[in-house]
Amino acid sequence: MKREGIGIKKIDEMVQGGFPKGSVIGISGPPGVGKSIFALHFILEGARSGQKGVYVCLEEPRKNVDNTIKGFSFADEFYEFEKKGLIVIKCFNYSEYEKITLELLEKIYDDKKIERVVVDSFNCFFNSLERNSSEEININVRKLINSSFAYLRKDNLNVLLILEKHENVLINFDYNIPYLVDGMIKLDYLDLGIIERRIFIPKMRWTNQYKESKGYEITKNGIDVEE
Amino acid sequence: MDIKKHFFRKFVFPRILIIDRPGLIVSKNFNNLNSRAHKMRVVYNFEDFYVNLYFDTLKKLGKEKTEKMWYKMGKDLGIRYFLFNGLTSFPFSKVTLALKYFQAMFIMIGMGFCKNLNYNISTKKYIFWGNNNIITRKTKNTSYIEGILAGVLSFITKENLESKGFYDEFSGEGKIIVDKKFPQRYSPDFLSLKIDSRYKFNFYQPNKITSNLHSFSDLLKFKIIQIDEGKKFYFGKYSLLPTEISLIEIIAKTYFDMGEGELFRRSTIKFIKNLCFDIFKNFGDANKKMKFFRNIISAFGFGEIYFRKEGNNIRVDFLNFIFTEFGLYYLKSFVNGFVNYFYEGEYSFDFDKNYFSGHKEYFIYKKLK
Repeated sequence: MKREGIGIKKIDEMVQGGFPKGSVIGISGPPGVGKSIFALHFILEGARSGQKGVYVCLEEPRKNVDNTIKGFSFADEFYEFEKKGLIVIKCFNYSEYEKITLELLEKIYDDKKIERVVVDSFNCFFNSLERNSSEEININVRKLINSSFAYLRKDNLNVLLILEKHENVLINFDYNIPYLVDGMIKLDYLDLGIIERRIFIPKMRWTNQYKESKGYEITKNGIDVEE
Repeated sequence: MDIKKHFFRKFVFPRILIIDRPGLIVSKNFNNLNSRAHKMRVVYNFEDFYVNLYFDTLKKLGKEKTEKMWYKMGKDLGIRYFLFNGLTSFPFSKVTLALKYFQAMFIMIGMGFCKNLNYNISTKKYIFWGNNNIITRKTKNTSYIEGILAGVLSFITKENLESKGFYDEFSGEGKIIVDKKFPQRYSPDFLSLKIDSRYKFNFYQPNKITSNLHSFSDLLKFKIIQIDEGKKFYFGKYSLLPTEISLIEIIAKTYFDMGEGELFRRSTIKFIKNLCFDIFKNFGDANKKMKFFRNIISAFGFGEIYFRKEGNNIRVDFLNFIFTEFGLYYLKSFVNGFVNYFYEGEYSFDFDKNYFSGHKEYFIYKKLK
């Protein structure tokens, strides 16, 4: 099985060198654990090895994404790759992305040069639907998720879906996503007066993944995993 | 690591964890002898607390008195544990099964002396041996463990058996012999150790968790608590012993009954203050210290704890409060250590007064100087 590096060496080591090539991976966790930063590492690492990557942002305007990137030591390198066209950042607001979900994914599917995609966050595609819980809407959401996966699964495309985990479990509809994805990364934290962050890898197909969790910090260099 | 896997589901008294939430840990023992289940309020306590208490006692009372006291406490603990299982006597036919159960359970909580067992049921002689035994490995003394094993076997055999311990400081190897032929040392009063019906207050659960505190499982998941290969729990460098709450309060009450309550209180306060200095050495913020301490106490099962300053006094409220027939001397002393550390002064409490407000119990710590 060929591997695609994540860009965080110690997490690569937890999954036998990287995500399985051509896989769709979900990353979940509560707000503030570093899911988007993880995704930046993933896109940047692809660019370093010559892969074109698209970062689809459905929650934040471009200036917020820039503020995040500029906070890290890899910012200059990141923007260099963007200038070269190896990194593409696409930000959409609510009224836009509600209409273009499948159209956008179709474009990504058709662009043979794209090898890495991040959707931040994937929940946004069906956020407006999940507020209601009627059976009909449930079926529609599931159909939308299945259609999305049909576009995301193609040879050589490595996908990272950010999945928001709400503090309130009642509105935490994850439908069948954990079953559809090839791997799940969970970032979580515990607030004991000091914040303890840990990474868990409960699922990674075709991989003998690290069974324990590891602590990490968010530093100037991005996600910094302990030994 | 799933904490539930650390509890036994076999033997005569299978034991499982049924509640693990902030402030409250409850395990359930199934007694296959009378087909009944019995719940126990469990807390995690620092091994070094016992060790410090032993050395402080040794310093003040000398070796003979200290060993006598610790043997008594151990024997009471052994008997009390049986009474939890709703037993007043034990059928002879189940002795072998019971021995296997206790041997496994004691090994699980870190009593390394129980790794090997040789016994003769007809002569009532039992020899336990092994190494790396909790408490003994640090105190170099076996009297507490001698007492526990004598208590357990006295209950099983329906005779007041006594024991002797041998410990080799260099190898860490120890041996405890329980033998019918040993002269009488201490005969426990079963009545004073029986379970009060009010013990059920220990299991009260509010409908929902309102605090942002965490459970023992949360701390395990995030490696704040770690488990070593020998299945011992560690909080940083401090090893933790899971124990039924009244078993700690038996120790405290023994000290108070013997007129050494102040020794117990001062030793506990000193231990907690030193612990605080150690764990908080890298914490700058007082609020963070308070939050961390509240989380630890809750996760260890002592109740959800709240501190409030009232004039010169400190009021400490407990949700999921603890009840024991032996009082709450340990808990009060333990919290006293933190109050002294956090509020930077000398505080003390009333030994006999507990206050209640709704489902909360609270203590008042008065400033001395």
